[in-house]
Amino acid sequence: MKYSIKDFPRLERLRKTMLEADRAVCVERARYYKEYYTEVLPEEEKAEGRNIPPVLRQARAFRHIMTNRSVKIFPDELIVGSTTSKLLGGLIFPEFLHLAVWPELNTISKRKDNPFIIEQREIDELNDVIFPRWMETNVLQRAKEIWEGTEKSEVKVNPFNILEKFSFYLLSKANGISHIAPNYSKGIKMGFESIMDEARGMTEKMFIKQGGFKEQTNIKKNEAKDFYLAMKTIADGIIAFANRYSDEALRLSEKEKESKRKFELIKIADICKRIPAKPARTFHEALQSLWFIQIALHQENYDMGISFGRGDQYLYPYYKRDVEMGILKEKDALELLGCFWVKSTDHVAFTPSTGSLFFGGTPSNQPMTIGGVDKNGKDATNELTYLMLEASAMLGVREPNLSARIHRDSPQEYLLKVAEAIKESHGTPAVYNDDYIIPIVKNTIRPSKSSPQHPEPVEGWGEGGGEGVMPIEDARDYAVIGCVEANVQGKTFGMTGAALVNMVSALELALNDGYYPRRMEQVGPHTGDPRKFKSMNELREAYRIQIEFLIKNVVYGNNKLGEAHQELTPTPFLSSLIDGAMEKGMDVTMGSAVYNSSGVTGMGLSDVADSLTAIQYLVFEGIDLPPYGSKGGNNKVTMEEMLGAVEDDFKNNPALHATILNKIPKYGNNNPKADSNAKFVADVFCKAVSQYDNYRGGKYNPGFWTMTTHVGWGKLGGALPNGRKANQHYASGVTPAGGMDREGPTSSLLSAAYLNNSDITNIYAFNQRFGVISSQIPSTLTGEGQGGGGNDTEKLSQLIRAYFNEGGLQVQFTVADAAMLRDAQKNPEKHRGLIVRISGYTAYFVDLNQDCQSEIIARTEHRIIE
Amino acid sequence: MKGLIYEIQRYCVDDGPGIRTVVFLKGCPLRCPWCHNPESQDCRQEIGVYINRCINCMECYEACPRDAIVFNNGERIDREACDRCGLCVDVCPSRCLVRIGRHYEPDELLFEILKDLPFYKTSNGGVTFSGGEPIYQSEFLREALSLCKRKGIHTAVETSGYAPWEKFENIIEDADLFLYDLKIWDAKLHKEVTGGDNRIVKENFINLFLSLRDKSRIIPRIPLIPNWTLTKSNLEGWAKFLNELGCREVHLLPFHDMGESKKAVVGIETASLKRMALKERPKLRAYSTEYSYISEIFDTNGISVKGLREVSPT
Repeated sequence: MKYSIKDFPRLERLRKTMLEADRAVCVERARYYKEYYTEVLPEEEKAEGRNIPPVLRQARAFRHIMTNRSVKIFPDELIVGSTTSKLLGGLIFPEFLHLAVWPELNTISKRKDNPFIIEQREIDELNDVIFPRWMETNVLQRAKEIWEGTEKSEVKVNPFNILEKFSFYLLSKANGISHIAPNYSKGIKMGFESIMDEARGMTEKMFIKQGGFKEQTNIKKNEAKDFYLAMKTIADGIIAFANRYSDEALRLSEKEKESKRKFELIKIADICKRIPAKPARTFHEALQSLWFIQIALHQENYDMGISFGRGDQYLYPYYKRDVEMGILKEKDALELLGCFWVKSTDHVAFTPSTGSLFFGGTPSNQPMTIGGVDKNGKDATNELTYLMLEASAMLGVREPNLSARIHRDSPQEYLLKVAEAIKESHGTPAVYNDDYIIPIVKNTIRPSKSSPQHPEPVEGWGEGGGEGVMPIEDARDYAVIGCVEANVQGKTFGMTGAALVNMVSALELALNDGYYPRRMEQVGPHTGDPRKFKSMNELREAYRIQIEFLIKNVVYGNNKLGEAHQELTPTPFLSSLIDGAMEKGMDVTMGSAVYNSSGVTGMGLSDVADSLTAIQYLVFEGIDLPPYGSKGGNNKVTMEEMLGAVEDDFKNNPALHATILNKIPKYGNNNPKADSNAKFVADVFCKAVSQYDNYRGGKYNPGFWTMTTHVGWGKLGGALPNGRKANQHYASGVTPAGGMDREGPTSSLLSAAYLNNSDITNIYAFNQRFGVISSQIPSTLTGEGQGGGGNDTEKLSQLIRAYFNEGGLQVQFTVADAAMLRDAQKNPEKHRGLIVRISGYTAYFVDLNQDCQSEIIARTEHRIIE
Repeated sequence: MKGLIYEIQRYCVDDGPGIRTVVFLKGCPLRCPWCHNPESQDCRQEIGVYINRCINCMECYEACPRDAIVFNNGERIDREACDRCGLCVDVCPSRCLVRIGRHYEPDELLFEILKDLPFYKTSNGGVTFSGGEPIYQSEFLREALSLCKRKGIHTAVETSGYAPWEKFENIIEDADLFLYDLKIWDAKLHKEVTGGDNRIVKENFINLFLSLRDKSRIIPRIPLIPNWTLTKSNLEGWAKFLNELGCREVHLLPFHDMGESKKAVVGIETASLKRMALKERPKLRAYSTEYSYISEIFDTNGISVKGLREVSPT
């Protein structure tokens, strides 16, 4: 790498302060949100003599927050603005997720994993004032009511009942809207005054000029008018917020003794006065504008997977112009980026204690996409791409979640830099295969001409999609969302993380005729007693039916939650930055985005696949298998024996357990039989998910990434036929089970590439862990000669290239050996900034709870040479 | 014709250019005490014991027709009584007992090698035949090499040089690269320590070097074993030899004792290295400072050294 953090004392200080900061709860957002609804809204309704429509009251609540919450500038900062009132804070969304934290308020400051500081008066405020207001009117509650009121004679599903059993799926829309890449560029480039003008223009067009809105649209003009009013309101909100920062900077500058800092603060005051009201002119302004927008998004929508999009593309014009004009040096640009990088880690998801199991490391998870091709299919890397890699490698902070797009003609220099950054930072960036993902993105939409809410065609729906085809230019402009997903930035309302499904539970249902042993109740449909199955196909069919059943529930549940969002919590600020909403005069929750889709992800791919393989070999086929046990020379077991062993956690049959672990082929070894079961598991899931349309007329997209649900659900789950014992973690994403891919990284990568990747339209996370060892035979390192060529950075880049040539979609590396990780478990203070890859996002290893830490240590360790 | 192979290792980055698959052929006529792969020496199939994997299920005991299973501490097999039939391996559920060595037809091996073709392509890698002494199974090796060549895969052979010259001639066309081990210069000591005559090693090296038009197709490699090969006189001997021949490059392989733990697996007595008083295990980074004389020796002879990293004193 060209730079080191030692070159930037300011960044060193900022990073240290942030890494050492304690997490604290911030109640301000919840306070002003609630205050608007209980105190301001009734007054407004009285004054205006009407019920304020949802989109407008949400916009006003947003403005109320932005004009009231405190503004803070911390020492050394060049990029200012704080997501919360604390240096490192957690936001509270009482209308969504955070009712779940209510019972834990008194213990969260003392809990073992991810404690949050909370003061008694904050607890009291939440207990007495804030939370009670949302008990009856939160999104989940409303969705249930809508579901109850639905005519469901034909539908044998019960989405919220099964949701509450907790073991089968999670519906994240109950927590709010997230997992999206808005059109930041629009906000930076146009400024919010222009967005106001745009809204005014649309209103005029509609009411004054003739023929603006066609007669056949079923959107009532008044609804659109309120939407445009909402656009003006949110613009007011964010501009007011920036102005308050400008004032604060000015105030501090007056007190500041040190002249350099004084000058910086005056400059900051100037910048905040200008943006995001007006278009940004300089690189500094653009970054500041981007950060204000991100803060604003986080006041409206909960903090998980609000994605920065292709930053190296939309920020580049500012960088280039400044450099050409001679007002910006590369090193200063990197310092600004560094300030932004550290600032983007200023908030952590405030989750209930189960959250540290399912979403370990309290991620906010804001991916920044770099590299790839431009709209014309040409390589898009630029100087900023490289600077962003420098920033991530040098700082080693968990955000932004740097995501590097790579295509066939990506320059080798870029790949090498990516590989170097991965090594240096222990795990960032993750890499994405443009050549295969771009065609996939084209398949994330199925422009539909009708939807539950809009039985008649809506003007502009699937715009640019025509006959269900997305223009290639749009597909090429995809950004990485949340963990690993890919959507067209700024044009897609994708909710790529709408639901997480436990595929292992479907296998357990299939092995028990729809009965779920851990809860001792019939949950799924009857698919027959597996002891009577004659062939593998019968078992596969039973599994397929159980998956179909779960997915159907997920889809109904998610659609109802979507409807509840439309009624209760439209997202006007987000809508201002998603193409399509402004043109149609509708909130994005109503389906106004250019592209509408939802994402569902499956957990447990390799565990289900390996379980099927074990049953295939041991119960049904016994081919190629040495005799199991010496007695009788039989190489098979009965289904009864297998299920019995699973039921008692292999306690009475250690030999069967060892046989499964050691002698049955496993996914991840480039073994056709084991891998074809993985392919089957993926296919079943993809088919079940992608057949449905969502409530906005878009398509459901299947993917495989797991946050840390593989740890959380693993903790609840019984033993499996693949030899995994009860309460142990499952494998993450499409990663082979830890220690089971014994043929080295090439085989492991080929196994993942063997999946039907083009169907996995919500993408997957594939983890590889490398231990750094000093080479025993260093000849390869120094020599470019034949005895061993190039260095291992080069080898890593070649590994990635080959995997991508074979059709792999994504891979992410954690570069840390087991000894180092164990040391970090024992001495967390020594490894405060050690970042690791979870299943898509990065987190500080020491922030993970012990179960999640163990999962990472248990991952197969391939070697890389120092 | 089948070959006996004890391991196929993928993603190897130390045995020739690029990302490589290394095929380890079983059987070696030499018995170097520092051998990294003691399980490679015997030219027959063996049964390996990984004692810490044993779950005490007694399946092996019941399966063995010759009463060769013992339950001593750290031992499972009475090597005298065992006829290597492998029934115990078949029934062992925990991979405590493993078969070392599997017979492959050349095309069967090619199939395994081809699996990683995508990686050879992006890295200019290929396959390396190692051992044991791969030339020991020269007919099989020739066939395997020629199959690989026909598929356009880069081939390398790691050899001790201890084999009849005809067998080298046999493979010379199909091996793109020879990684040729040079150990002890002194003939008497070489014989005493490794059991082989190093005149054969030297002659073969000369013949091979002279018959290859492209001299970069052969790379001499010297393992640096304290007391044995890592002495001034030994390295000087080789340096002069190479210089006279006109060979301008040598690779030096730092010592490690990873082979030691594997000796127990195949029941080879483990005392040999300790007997050699090899308690001093030079740290990798130490080579460049403590043994700075090494590069001097080769420099004076006009030979460039690769392998000792240019480590800065920090």
